[in-house]
Amino acid sequence: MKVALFVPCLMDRFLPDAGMAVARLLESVGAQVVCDSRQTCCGQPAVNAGHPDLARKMALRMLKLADHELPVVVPSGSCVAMMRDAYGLLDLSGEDAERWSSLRGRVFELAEFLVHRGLADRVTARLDARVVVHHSCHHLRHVHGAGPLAALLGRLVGAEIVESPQALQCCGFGGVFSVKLPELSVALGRARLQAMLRLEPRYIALADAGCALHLGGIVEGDGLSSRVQVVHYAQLFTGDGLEVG
Amino acid sequence: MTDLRDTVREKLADRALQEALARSLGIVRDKREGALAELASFGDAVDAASRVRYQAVQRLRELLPQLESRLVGEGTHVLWARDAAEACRKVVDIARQRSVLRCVMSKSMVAEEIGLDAALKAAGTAVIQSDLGERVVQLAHQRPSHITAPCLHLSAAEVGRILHERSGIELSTDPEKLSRSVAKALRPVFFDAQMAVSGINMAVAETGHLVLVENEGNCRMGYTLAPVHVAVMGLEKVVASLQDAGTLLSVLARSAMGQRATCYVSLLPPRPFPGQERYLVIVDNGRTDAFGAGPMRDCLRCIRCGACLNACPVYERVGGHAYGWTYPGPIGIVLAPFLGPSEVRGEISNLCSLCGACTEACPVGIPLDRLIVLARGLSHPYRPADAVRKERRFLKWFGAAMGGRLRYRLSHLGHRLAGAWFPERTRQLEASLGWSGTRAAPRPAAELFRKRFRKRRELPSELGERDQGGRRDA
Amino acid sequence: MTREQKPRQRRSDDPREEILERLATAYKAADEATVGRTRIAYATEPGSDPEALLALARERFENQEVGYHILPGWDSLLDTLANHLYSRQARRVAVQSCELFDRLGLVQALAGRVPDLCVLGPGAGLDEIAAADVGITTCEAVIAQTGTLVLNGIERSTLGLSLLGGVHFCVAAVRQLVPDLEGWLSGRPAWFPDEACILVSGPSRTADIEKTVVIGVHGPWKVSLFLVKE
Repeated sequence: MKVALFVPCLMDRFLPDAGMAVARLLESVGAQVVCDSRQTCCGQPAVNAGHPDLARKMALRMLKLADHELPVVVPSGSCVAMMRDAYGLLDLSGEDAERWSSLRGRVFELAEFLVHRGLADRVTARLDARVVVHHSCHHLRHVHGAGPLAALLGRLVGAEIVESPQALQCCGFGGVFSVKLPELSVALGRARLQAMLRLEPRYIALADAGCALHLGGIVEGDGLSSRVQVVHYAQLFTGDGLEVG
Repeated sequence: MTDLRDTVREKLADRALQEALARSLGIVRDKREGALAELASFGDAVDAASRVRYQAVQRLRELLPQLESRLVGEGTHVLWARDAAEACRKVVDIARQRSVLRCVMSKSMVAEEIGLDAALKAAGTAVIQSDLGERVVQLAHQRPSHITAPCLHLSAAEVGRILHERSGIELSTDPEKLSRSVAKALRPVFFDAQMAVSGINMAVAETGHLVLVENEGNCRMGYTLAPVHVAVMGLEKVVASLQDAGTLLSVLARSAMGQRATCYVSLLPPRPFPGQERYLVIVDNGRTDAFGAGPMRDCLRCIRCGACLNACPVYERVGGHAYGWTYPGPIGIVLAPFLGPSEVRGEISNLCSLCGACTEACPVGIPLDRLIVLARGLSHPYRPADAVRKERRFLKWFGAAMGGRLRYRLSHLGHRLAGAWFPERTRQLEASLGWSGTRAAPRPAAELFRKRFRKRRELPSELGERDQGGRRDA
Repeated sequence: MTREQKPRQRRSDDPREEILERLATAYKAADEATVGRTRIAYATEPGSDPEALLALARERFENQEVGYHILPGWDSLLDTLANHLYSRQARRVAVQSCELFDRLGLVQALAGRVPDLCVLGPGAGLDEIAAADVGITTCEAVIAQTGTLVLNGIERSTLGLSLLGGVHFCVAAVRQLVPDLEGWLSGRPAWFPDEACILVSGPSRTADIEKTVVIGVHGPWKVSLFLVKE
């Protein structure tokens, strides 16, 4: 099976290990991964900042690049939510609207794709570590991805997956929010982090690069890097970029 | 207006506020879960309640005249007001005609919104708020910080001090003692008042019933004892039938404070009580603007339960006053473009991380986080022009950098080189955006994922086979 | 620097006309998917089985601090009420003027059974009712799902009986139990359009200070239901 992988801009630039993990995880279940390197950003920042006019061009570009029949797999809940739902805010019409309606039906978040296509059962991996899952909001509430993610993580032999009491609450990233009200953004992140650290995990796994950079930044800023690593969940399966010990 | 970022910093540093918010919202969230568990399915209940509100908003044009004719036919006076000033003027006129010196007011968000308290006071009518929390904030010369719990931002000790200093109630930190003392002090006021002002939770078009929801009994005291009852409503509060009101009542209390039902729900018939005059003031004040604003119309579905505030991680940290006007929290952000004063229409929509917890909590299915994105689009004319210009310039630059493969790579390279060649400037820029110190800024990777992915394709993969994928990546 | 809000142009001198016109102008047909109504269902649905209704109502009452006493028949009601008033050391009670209480001879019976008791019957004013220790009312229905008493009245003094005293006693028959509010409202009785209807789901309360629940604020601190089996 051929899949079109879209590794969003933040992951591509700041977390290439996570991107590699995603590609390898897909390949490990037999998928043939193609990745169009003309893909950049889905336009989410401009939409969320309330400038849909400035997002339009990026969205149209994305739609044009995804104008094929392949399933599009994206390892980021918020980008999936953008392409699936929020493009509706851009008043698309004609050919663009057709492209969008085609894309909406075949754009998937990674775990969602693996589980819905019955591929998760083929995943075999081992990781002897305790992992806390923090649910990224758009992955949780727009993609409804908690179920598929739990099912996929169930395939990770040896791992102790723990749910944090605050795992369903926003980590405080929020895209533009993180730079407009940084003190609040960090305060929220730190509260979630402290709740998670009480469970003494080796890894904190997320489904969105933005949230991972934010929480990872706080971990680093607070000098906690030796205790815990913030990763994309795909990394747990392939070991890409995983710090051990 | 102070800068929003400064306001937020100030709220974060206020330890008493942080404790009050964390404690109270923790309790409310737990209770709500218990109350919702008694429903067969919250999702189905939301569906039922959403339909009721959606249809009511859709049919405002016919339901309002229907309501009016039911009421007027039975002797209740109905007054219409386009804006806050007109609404206040009409209520003040009633008070003047009746030479009202004292009036009791039970918790009403719309009265707060139009500034009725101050208008009556200016016209020589003393206003005494009768809801406990509302009375506390009135005495403290503050405004309510929550839709259903006006003094949620205060600790018992602070409440005790306010009550002691402003109304001579014995100093205490015991909520029970304080609550009882306030009620006791207010009792003679109810008997004295010549007018009772209340909001309403719903008005039933089909039968002309006014529905009032409360726990304390202060609202009942007001309309039972005063010779004149003035009810003020936002025009969206109408529902088609009693059965519809029943549907909403089944989710309102559960959603608001995690109660199965509030202690009291009054369904007042269209005919006023013998020996009493009743007025209903129907207020627009920006609501018809919301009605005509495309998808934003959904904000008129709101039943003011406050569930979105209770669920909101930002509200939990900054409290209601940070929003700067009557309606705080997610619903405050989506109402602001239509009902809010121009000072708050600019930055208020930034008090949101778009997490969607509000949408999930809303019992009438308002897609709050989506509407907040739209509210941001409406906020720009009210923001400082240079801030908007800067933001758009950045986003345009970003769009350009994302507009092609080469530009994309160059911008990445630029980012890396800036860090290497101008470390100090880069750090300063990052710090101004809050990405430094306590939150380390992400560093651009030496090699983009896409490059690594392609390179790997050119080598034998782990499986020992030559990989055929990624050809489009050439 | 923020742009000033433009004052909205007045289209008409009459606010009513202007508001309705604005609503008419912006009107768009309803989205079909959201039309029609559905009923809210509960985790526990007692149906119309009297025993199940009673069991659910009892659970709700206990949880909501509504005192309840289940009596085998009307004969025992007068004695039970008298005993409760006596043990509360009630000096003044105010009684609703209604057919049921007339038939039972409630006013005379209580006055005869409780020494030094002043019983306020029909015609008592709001001041007098407020000075009573206990207000006694009937009720129109009892909603099991939310443990709610449905009271009614045309006069403000009738409504004051369940509000102004410190204690509210309410008398109902077990057959008046209904499953839920929505259902009851859809088959509402003939008095409904004319009389006020008050739903009482417990003694008055507040949680305004630190979310600490305090029972007994402006209204009664105690609500007791006397449920009579026939």
